[in-house]
Amino acid sequence: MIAEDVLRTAAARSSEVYVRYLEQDFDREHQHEFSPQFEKRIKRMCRRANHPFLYKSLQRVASIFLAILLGGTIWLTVDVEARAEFFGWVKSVYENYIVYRFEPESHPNDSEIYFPTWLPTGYSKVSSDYSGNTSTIYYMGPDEQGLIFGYSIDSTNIDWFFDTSVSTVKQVYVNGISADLLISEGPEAVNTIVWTADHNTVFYISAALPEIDMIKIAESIQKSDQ
Amino acid sequence: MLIYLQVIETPADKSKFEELYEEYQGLAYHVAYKKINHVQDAEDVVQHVFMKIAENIKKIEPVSPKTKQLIVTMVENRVIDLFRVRGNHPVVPLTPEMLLFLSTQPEKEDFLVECILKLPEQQRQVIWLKYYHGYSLREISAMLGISLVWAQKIDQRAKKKLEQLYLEGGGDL
Repeated sequence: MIAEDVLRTAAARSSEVYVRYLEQDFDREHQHEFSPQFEKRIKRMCRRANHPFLYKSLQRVASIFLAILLGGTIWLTVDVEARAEFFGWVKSVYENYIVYRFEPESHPNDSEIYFPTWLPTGYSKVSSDYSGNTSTIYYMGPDEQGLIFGYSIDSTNIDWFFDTSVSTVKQVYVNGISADLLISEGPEAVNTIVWTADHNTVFYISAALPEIDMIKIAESIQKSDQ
Repeated sequence: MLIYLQVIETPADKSKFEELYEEYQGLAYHVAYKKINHVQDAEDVVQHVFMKIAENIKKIEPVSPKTKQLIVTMVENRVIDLFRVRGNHPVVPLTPEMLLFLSTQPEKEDFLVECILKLPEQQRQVIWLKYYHGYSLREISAMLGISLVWAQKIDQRAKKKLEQLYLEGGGDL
């Protein structure tokens, strides 16, 4: 068996040799100029990159990401007129996304567990992620189509961002409650429905499913007895 | 380029990523293109690698020769992935030209270096990431986009193959 310290030294040396070999005809002064397509693809990829866990597990699911609130955050192109107030959660509409932010004045409740009682045929749960008052459940359907159901209760330290730059926003209703349905306009994202309920909870579902199924799933959400 | 930064949490990490991007994007493309010989595929590789760097930014050191070698390893790994998907595999044999870079090291050590360079690419990459960069197999699997089980298998095969090459060449364990 080769001793580890010897192996470490040889590994370092071989890596150095290899890179020097590859680097020998690299001209730093005349580097490749990346194409406009490259820049464009990076922007698209960013939407997935904002939620790397999601990207890895469910590649086709939605352009949604969480952001920890930072003091002094500057928002660009705010459409003040489009800002709609809820009790607890406040929705702000920006040029390229919608943000749901929890207003801290209300009284936080204990965490509660929600889940969909109806899913299209072939979908089953693959994993879940519970972090504080925010929960995300991942499902996989036929042909590895992903579906995400997420919700957040009384979360004063996060915003939910819903990227609308590749979607058309349509107002729909979930059990009589107004909801935003983000209908994807391209293959890089899927449809998302987002709504608030019980004054303190924001829900979203994201999947490559038609409007009727998105609403049906949303209307099937129930609170667990746990 | 700023677009990458949205996946990175702290200003310090953003700054580190920015420096890495500025310093190594050109070299990353150069290495990718050298192996693939196709502009768009090489750009795809660069894009993928810097995304991986952004995702793992906390585990990656700032600009340094060691980090440069890590990025080249990540580029190579992505190139192998591309070839694998397309049903063929790039052959990058140990060349006499490469050995010219071995200078005045003690003979025994140089021989082990040669053996590492003779390993199949993915085995060589795991050896570098584990024994040079000090990553765990779990971290390596995340960085290379492979399963932990597969990373463990590659690691075992690499060490076995390395010992075989070393002994066949007259090395003394």
